[in-house]
Amino acid sequence: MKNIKLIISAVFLTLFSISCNEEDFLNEEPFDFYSPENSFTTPEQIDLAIVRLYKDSQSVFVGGVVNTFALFYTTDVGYDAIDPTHQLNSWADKITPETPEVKWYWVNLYKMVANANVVLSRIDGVAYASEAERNVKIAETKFFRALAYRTLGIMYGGVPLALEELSAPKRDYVRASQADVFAQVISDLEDGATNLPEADAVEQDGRVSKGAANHLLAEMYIITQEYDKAIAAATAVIDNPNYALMTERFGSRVSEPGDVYWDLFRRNNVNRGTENKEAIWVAQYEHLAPGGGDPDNFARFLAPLYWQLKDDDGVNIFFSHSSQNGGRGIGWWAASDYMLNQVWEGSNNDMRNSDFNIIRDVLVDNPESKFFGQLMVASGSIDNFPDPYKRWWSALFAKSLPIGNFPADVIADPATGETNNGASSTFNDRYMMRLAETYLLRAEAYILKGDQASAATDINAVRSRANADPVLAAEVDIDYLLDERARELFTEEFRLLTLMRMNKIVERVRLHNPMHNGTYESFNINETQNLWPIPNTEIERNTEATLEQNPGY
Amino acid sequence: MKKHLKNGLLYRQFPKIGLKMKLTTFLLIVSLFQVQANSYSQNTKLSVDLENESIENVFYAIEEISEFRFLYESGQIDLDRKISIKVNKKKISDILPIIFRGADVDYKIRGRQIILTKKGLGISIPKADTPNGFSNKNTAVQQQLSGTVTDTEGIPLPGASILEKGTTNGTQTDFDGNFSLGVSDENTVLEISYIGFIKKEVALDGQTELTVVLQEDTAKLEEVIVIGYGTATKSDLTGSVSRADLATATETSNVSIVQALQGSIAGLNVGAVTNAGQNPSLSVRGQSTLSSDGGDNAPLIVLDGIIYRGSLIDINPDDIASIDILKDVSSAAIYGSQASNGVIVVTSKTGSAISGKPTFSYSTSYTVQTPSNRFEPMNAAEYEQFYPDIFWDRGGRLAPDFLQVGPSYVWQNNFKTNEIAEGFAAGLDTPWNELLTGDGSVQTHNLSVSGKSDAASYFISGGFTDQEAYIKNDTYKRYNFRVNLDAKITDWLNIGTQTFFTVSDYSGQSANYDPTPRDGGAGQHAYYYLQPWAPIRDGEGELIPNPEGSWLNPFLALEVQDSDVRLNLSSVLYANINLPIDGLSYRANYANNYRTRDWANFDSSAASFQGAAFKEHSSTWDWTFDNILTYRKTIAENHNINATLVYGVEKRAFNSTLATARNFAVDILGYNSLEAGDPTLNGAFSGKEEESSLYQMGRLLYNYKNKYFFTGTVRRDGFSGFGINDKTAIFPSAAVGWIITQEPFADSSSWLNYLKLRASYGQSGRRGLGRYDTQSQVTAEPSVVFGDGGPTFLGLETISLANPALGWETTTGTNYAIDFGLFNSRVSGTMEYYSNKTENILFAIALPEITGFEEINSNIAQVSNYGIEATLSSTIVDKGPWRWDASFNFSKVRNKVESILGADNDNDGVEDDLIGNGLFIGEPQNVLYDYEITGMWQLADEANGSIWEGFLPGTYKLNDLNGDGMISSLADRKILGYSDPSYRFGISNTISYKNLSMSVFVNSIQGGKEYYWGDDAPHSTGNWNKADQLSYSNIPKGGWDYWMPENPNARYRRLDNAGQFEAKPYSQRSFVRLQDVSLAYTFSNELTQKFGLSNLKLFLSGKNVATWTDWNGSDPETGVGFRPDNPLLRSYTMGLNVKF
Repeated sequence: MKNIKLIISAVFLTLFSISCNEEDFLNEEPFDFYSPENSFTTPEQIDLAIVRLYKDSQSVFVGGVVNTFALFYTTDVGYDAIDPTHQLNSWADKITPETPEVKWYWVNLYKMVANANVVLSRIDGVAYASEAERNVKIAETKFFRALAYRTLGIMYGGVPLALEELSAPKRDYVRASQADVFAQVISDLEDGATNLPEADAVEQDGRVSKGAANHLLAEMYIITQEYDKAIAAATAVIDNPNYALMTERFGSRVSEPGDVYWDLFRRNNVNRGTENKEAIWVAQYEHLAPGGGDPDNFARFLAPLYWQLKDDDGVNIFFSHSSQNGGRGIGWWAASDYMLNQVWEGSNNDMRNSDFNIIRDVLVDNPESKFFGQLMVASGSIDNFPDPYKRWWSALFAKSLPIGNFPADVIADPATGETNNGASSTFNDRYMMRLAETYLLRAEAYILKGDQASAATDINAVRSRANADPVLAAEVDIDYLLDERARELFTEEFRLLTLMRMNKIVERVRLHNPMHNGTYESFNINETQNLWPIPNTEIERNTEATLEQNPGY
Repeated sequence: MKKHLKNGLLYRQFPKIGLKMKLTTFLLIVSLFQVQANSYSQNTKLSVDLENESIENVFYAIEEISEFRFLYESGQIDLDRKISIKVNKKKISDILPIIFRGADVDYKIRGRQIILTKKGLGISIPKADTPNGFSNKNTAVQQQLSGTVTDTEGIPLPGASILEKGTTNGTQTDFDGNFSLGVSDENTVLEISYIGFIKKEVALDGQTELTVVLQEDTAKLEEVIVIGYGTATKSDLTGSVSRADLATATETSNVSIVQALQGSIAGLNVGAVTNAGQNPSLSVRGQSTLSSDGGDNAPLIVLDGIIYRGSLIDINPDDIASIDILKDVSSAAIYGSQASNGVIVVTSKTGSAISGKPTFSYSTSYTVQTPSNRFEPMNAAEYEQFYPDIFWDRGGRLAPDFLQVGPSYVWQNNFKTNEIAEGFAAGLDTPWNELLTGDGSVQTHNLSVSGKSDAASYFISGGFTDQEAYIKNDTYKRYNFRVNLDAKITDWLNIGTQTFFTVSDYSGQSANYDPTPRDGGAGQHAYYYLQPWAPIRDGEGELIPNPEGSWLNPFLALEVQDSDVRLNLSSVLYANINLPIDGLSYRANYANNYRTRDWANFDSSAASFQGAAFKEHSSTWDWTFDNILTYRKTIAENHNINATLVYGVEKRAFNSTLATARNFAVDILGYNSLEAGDPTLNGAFSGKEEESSLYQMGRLLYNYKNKYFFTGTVRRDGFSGFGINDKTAIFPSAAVGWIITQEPFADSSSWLNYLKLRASYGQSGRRGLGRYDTQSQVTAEPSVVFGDGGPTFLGLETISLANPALGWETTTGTNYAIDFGLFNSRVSGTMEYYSNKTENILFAIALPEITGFEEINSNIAQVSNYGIEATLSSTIVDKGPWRWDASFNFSKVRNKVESILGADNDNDGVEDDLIGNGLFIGEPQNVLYDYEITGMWQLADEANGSIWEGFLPGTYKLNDLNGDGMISSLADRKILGYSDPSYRFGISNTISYKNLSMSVFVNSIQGGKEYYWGDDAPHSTGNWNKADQLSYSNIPKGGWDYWMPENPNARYRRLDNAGQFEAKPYSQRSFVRLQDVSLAYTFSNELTQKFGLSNLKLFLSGKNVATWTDWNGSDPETGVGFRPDNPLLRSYTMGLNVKF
């Protein structure tokens, strides 16, 4: 007995005293995530990191709902239609270092920069079949870094330039000059203009090409007042046989009544893969697919709250929100009178103002209304409906609404076209750059250079496609150009950035924004507000150096 | 006879009485040590060598050399018969036949007792209170009395001693706690005593039947406390360890065992719960680290000796024998790197039946729960009165004074849907809240059997808990099974297990609809916010998905199929070996804990009513192997040693698989046929994580003459989750104690009968980080579909910065304490002071997001923490059938940030604050750093142009601290107060009269002047924050005091808009709560025995009965402000415990 006891004890005590190899035992092995060390080592992985940049750019400019609309409704073309004190309606009161949108753009653009820097810092260690292949990927990455810094530079001025992957925390950022920021952008874009493939040679439809880099370069050279370079960059796009303004009906819905401008914005007509030669760079959306992209919620936010309108008997004018009327809008923001009416004054046959593209009246479709079957506005059915800020009705901008073409899953009743709450998006790819804008950029450069004739030619290239009367050279100036941009690019161009880079935001908001020009309110926009403030949280966190705030904030 | 003294039983007097006094009646004694005695008779071998001695002297001799006692009735045994006997190392069973060879005697060995009767009368064990019970010849018996001795639970105490005061006349209770005694005077006083219980004197006052309830000695100095990897008696302790009083824990509606401890132990902070099957938050001695997150401050849970990572709620409260809380750094230091938040040591029951026969126990309770604070939404009429106020500034009122209603303004146009408009027109008043909430209930049933024999002890139990919470369909069902076994294989080897299996069923989507359950959505409380005008169904009887335009109809939630079943199988297997060296033993613990969660959900209304479903399986497998060497020895009588060495390893593995589907072609099979969803939209996700720890620990408990005490420990810890540079660390501690009242100079008759001083110093750590937190992580997620109809591309992104230098957070602490007992321990208490310093705190520091990252995990800062704790217990009244016990506990903690990054970038000579993380040098950790409200902007200010940019009439005026004429978050915020409590106290009273007892517990958390502030402003709730949301959200009855043109001095700002600066009017959370009240009745033994029961108790209790507070919100303790969160429930429980 005693022996057994001793043996068992000895066995246990031996176990007890044997310690396993501590280092092995405590070694930590990741199983379900990647590390930078094993993630950016092959060309395929590098490309996935670049794919992420496409998503980042989509998040900043297209997704993000309320935040992205700040690029539109804070300007001359739009306003928040809910009420004067809502969201960012008053520049002086609402654009401050505490404003969530102010932080949102800063944070997300810098995240895009950081993601680009990881690729640029790692790509040299990756084996590529050729230097040319590597250079394409470098150029593609730099395009996105440039896009981020161009936007940061326009919005915030001279921002800190971070150009390397970070391996340790950093809290001592200082601002570069705005000129340095733009110089960096141009340097990155020039790389792109050299090394990116042509539009017909990109790996997948939706990837950026030389054209995209040149288009953005043209804008940058205008900012840096290098107009000849701007003209050259724009010309490189305009003269490129891959691109052309679409002048004939095309795409999936040619058989329906419409016009070519209408065709340009139909679902599945936007990508270059669908015979569209006007697209330069398109943000990708694929309905319901994993990674399909953030929905572009114009159909919810810009479309009016029409389906709640009542006639003077108090009877609903519409039986419901419906696909044929553009889905379930809530009229969160609306086009200003400038956008809705003034820019079209004197235009006769401008296709962009056609009944297909800007729908200013619709048929009353609730059989219980005495106006059933009549045009809502023309019949006077809503004359007595209180709509102080045109939230319930102004117009439907068909280019940002899949009118009559919502996906089946947001249709509540196929027989009537009634939609459910999901009918809130364009469900469409979205132009980030379109050739019409390249013409207008070149026109801008010509104007600034003093060559009004060439500017008029370019503007007329855009106008003639839209059947609009040509403009005379003498009539062309920056304000005319801005009007033309509004006509051609409403809901496409990021109007806030356009006006800020032209130093026009203060003037134009005071003139045309109904919350500032006295139409609804006379809110203030300060002279210094051509730049947004730096978020206070960033100043606070940057403990080891001072980030100077922009003047006036 | 000395060896009997330590048992403290009257037993020791027996030989004298039994033999010398020649008792004439049969005397039966049941030993408390029955069980040990059985083995005693088996194992003890005696040598007897007597020549021609009387039987009486033979008995005497055997009693001298052994613990055997002879019991017989005088006159039945011939004591004068002479025998000769010579045996060498024989068992008593072999000796007795020799003694009684040829005699007219029957004998029976019963433990240590040898019962003798005259042959033929048979051996029966009469009840002590039968007519041939006790009487003492030397006493002039005037009065015959009988009685029962029980503990406060009503459990009989066998072997309790009863002595007539001032005499040697006495007896002991039998198996069933019954006794019978003849006394000299009907008004005499009896002294009743029992080990571990407070001695009680009972004046007879003519009673002939007594029920004596003994109270456990609150000082419980001999109580065995679990201190981690071993035990120690309470008197040996040098650190700060509190034992929870679980006596009434099962009498209240606590689904989780720790809930019962809420407020009752100084330094242990238990949060309130509001959901079915929810674990309360736990912390010990406040917050030593920088994060106030509950998980970062949660104490380590040790269950049956093994670190337990599962959910506490999986442990059946009925299975718990004890809970010990290791509070100070030195006590907790044996758990090293995981101990700085304190350790809660939970021990499950074992078979320790006193009587040796199985004890069956059944308990059941039923609880009704109702919100402690009614917070009901408005009905249609009330809401219609309120609603137009939202739109006063949008035309609802006429400028400039906004006192006249705008005649042309149609506020009904703010309705979000036509359904609302129609409902309003039709005068609809849907009581959403009433329909979707209601009184909750908890039902419990527990059955167990326990017992102990020579070879084994066992505790086997099963339990069932069924909870329905306040919100419809918020349910929880739990099935518990436990087997605790200990088998004595040989006299040197014990093998056993503590194993439990718990099934927790959280199935069912509550009416608090959560559209994205997997993303941890908290539910939207739509049942509350839905307007009374909103219809539930349309004309065809179909549920309207968005009656209000915003939330999904909560009735759809009730149609969601949801199955959420979690299994927890935990098994500790152990072997205890007594090694050949005396006092040295080895214990191996091998523990496995396997927990799974199977969660499946099908929501037919998701994905635009095409249905979305998922099925997820996740499992966690933890195993631990501990080797523990223990050496206990008393050397040279005075040196008591208890030494422990531990070597252990732990491994934890997590696995998960998730499949999702949506857009179902046919949905009748729900989540059980994910393949019925659109195959292009299927999702598959999986995860796996592992972590490992290893540790070595040494501990020495030493005391000299039970007077001077020393404890020293060293633990070395390694954890895989730490940076490669810093995988291991060492945590030492030492503590001393001195029982002054043991000194010769102490006067034992003084009013101060016990006084002990303790002091400790030690280091412990906190891991603070999850596994993999030191590594930079890169995610790959579906990011882009290029072209139309193309494949999905993944996108790679680095989401965290690596920090390979991350190591342990270390807390160094001292603890000073005094334990005292006054007036024969009638009053006892403990006072403690501690002071801790935590360094290298693991903290996610906010980074400028220029970096691309929001934060980085770092070891930073130094925080000091000090506190006082006091506990006082007293038996205030103990007279006749009356008894009143009271106890009071108090605790107070303060902390201070001593250092953060150590940088002084602004060169002002003081280290910089880290405002981005809310950390300020010299201040406590949880500060309210915000704008100070000084008043309200009025319409007149706008009219005369004096209103500042960013403000509107009816918004708060803020203090412009730097006087620059504008408000900025950089310059105009300051510390307004602290969100931690100032102090806490609890008062408990138990009053009993005969079999009836009542307990009342009052719990309070107080803020003093500056502490315990929180945000209970109505506009802090997103839905009541601005006009858009208010336009589709119902609000509480009575509304709140909001600014309007006619109410310029309101407490809260205008309804529709905050302006650019959302300031908060904070309020204090201080409260006093009548937390527990319970009434218990224990049926008398005569009654219970008629039904064959040994104990029957009925109880009624109430929890959260009343609360006194100035907090405007739902509940101060849960911190729920003025918003419709799950309410704290008031509950009333009725139940019974029965043993047989």
